[in-house]
Amino acid sequence: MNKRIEEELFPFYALDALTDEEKAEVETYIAADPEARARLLALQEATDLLPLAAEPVMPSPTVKTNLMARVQADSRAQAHQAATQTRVGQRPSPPQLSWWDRLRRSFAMPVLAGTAALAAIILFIWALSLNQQVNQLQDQVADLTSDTALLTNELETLQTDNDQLRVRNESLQQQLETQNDILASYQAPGTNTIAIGDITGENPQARATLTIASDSSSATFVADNLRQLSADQVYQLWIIRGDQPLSAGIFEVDENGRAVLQVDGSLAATYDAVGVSIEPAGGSEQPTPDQIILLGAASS
Amino acid sequence: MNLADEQLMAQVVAGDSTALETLYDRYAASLMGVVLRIVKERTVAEEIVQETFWRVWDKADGFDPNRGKFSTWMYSIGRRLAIDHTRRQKIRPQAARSEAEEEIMLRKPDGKTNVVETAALHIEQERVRSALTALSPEQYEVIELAYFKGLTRREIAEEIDTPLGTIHTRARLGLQKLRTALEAAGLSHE
Repeated sequence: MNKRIEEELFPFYALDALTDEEKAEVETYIAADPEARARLLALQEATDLLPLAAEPVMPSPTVKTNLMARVQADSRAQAHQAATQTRVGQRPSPPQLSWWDRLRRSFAMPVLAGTAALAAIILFIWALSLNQQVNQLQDQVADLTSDTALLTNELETLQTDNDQLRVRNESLQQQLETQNDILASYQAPGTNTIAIGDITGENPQARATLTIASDSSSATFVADNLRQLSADQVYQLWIIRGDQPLSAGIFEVDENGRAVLQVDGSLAATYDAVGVSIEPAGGSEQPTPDQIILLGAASS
Repeated sequence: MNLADEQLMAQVVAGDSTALETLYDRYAASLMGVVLRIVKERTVAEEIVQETFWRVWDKADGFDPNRGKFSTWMYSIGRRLAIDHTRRQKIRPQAARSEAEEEIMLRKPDGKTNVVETAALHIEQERVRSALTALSPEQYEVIELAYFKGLTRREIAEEIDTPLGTIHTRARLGLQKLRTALEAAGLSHE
């Protein structure tokens, strides 16, 4: 008794899990030892039933249908082959043909050849049709691929736009919060509003105010009914202390002649007068003489 | 009258396709269960079941009833095809008594299966599963990896990081214990 083979290889032979070399070794061994063969068969009794441990699953009906169709086709092919071999084996003597049979046979070959040619033509047309369908499908796939790429690009663009809008929204939110803070500060007691009016007589409808928060943290200049300037001109706001004008910023008006300008609160905290002049584009260091059109003075 | 597998195989060898159909009805579901447990994919398992029964038909004269039962031969063909497939796919699943795995798709009679045969098969299946509970988890694992995953003994040792000698012992004792349990359940070899 070969203990190594029986203890190490027999169980895995029974489980059908040996390599080909190991399997050959076992088969050589049991061929020479009937008792060893009986011991191996005893182990196989157990493994023969192992498939029953798996939960049965019914294959779909098409499996059986396909199998039986294949089997039937094979049966027919075998029957045909057997019949052909029988005919060849029998080698029958040429039959004595009647004049009618000879006449019919003379027509049979051309008819058969014609039928075959017709079948070949039909198959060729069918193949062409299939090829055309394949080409059409390939075109459709190419179109869909192209569409997908375009949609992907559009999506990326929309995502970029969305990111930009989100940033813009955040910026506007911050501005709104700042405006709200300013408005709140202007509603507090002690807020100072300076009325600024036309001093030239040319534009009596023009008016403006400078509102300074009570804690001088901010100031807002609002103008209305100012005329549109040429492209090389701007309005400039001045805080005047004594005879010293300090620039508080330049601005343009919209189509309604309106303008809003945030002013440094500390700059606006101390003043004797507030003026608006027309200056060259970019503004000036000092107001151009005779160009101050609006003026408001501190109330005494 | 229900013909024995070996009688049906004699008819298959003679070219009787209805005999093959009877064998298919008798074993397709259990073979599908075994193959599905190995390959995990229903479509692949169905292809393998079809190919197995095609080979039963095509290689029928290669079956020798003196060397073993028809079912053993047929399951061996199916298992080999399934294991070859998984090796080609380089699938190396872990062995486990996964209830989820076993509940993938339960058998549903197709209306053509012999009811008596189905009931008898069901009883046998329950007995085999019950007998397998006699094994220790370690012994079951080795048998599972060898039979249902197609691993060789060295691959099993590597897979579960256990000495080869221990693998031999678990397989040998496991099969002995299984055989004893099957005999006790009345499932000895015919």
